[in-house]
Amino acid sequence: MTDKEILQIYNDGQQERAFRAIVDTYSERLYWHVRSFVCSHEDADDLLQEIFIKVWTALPSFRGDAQFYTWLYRIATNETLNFLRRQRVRAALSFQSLDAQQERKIDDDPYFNGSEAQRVLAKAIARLPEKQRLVFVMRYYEDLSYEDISKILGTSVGSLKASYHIAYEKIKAELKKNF
Amino acid sequence: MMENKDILQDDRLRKLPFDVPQGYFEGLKDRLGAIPEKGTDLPAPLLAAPSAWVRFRPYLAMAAAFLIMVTAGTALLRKTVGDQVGISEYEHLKYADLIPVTDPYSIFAEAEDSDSSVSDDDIVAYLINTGTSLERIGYETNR
Repeated sequence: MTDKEILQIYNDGQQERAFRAIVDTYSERLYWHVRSFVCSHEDADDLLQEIFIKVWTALPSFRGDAQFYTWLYRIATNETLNFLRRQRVRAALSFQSLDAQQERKIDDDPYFNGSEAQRVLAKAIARLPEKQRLVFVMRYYEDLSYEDISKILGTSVGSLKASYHIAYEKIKAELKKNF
Repeated sequence: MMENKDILQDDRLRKLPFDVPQGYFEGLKDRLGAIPEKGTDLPAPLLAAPSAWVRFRPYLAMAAAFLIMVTAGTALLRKTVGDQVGISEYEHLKYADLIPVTDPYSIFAEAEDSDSSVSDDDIVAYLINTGTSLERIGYETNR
C-alpha cells in the first residue's frame, strides 16, 4: 500500500485501519533502521513499540507537508537518539563507558550472524559521534539519499556529506588496522 | 593486496549482520497493530518526565556521602589528637602524687626562695647526717 493510499484511508475516518497499514508497510523497515543503531534485539523491540505508540498519537498532527515516510523516519530516529542519550546518561551515572557497553552487547548478541569484519564494523560504528553515526548508517546500510537524510535529520546536504566522509575514513582506518 | 582495496566497498559488509527470532515480524505486526485498541495509554517513560526526586536523588546521595565522610573524619581526628594531647588516667595519678594535696602551690614556693631559706644550722645538721668529721665541720663553720 502506498503512502497516499494510507493517508486517504486515514482521512476517510478509518484511523485504525490506516495505522495497521502503516504497521504492515513500515514495521520491518523501521525495525532494521532502529536495529542498526541499538546493539541488541531486545532494545530494538522495546524501542519499536514506543515509536509506533508515538506514531499513533502524532498521526492527527501530520499535515502532509512532508513525505510520509520521512516523517515516520524522523520519529523513529528521534526516539532512537533519545534512547541512546538515556543510555549514555545511565552509563555515566554508573561510571561506565557506553562504548564499552555497546561493544559487549555486540559480542554477546545471540542474533549476530555476521563475519568478524562485520563485527569490527559494527563496533566501529558504535564508537562514532552521534551525527556521523546517523548519516553513516542511513547511507551505508539503508542506502538513503542525502536529500532524504537531510529531510529526516533537518540538516543540510553539505554538512551530511562532510560527516559521512569523516565517518567513512575513520571506519576504513579502523578496519585496515584489523584486516 | 588488501592495502589498495577499500574494504568498505565490499557488498557483504553492507548487509546488517543480525538475525531476528523465527516468526518475529508476524508477531510484531500483531502487537503493534493492537496499539489503537489499547487507547493512548502510553508507557510511563514516554509520557512523564522523571520527577524532581528522581532527578536530584544522585546529587542528594553524593551530598549525604560527603556529609558522612566529613563527620566521620572530624570525629576520628578529634579522638586521635585528644589521646595525644590529654593526660591519661595513669599520668594524672602520677602527677597528683607529687603535688601536696594540702598545699599544692608549695611546689612553686620552694623554687622562689631556695637561696635564702637554708641556715647554718641546717647545713651543720646535714653534714653530721652525711658522716662528715667534726674537725671538718668546725673548720668549715669558722671559715
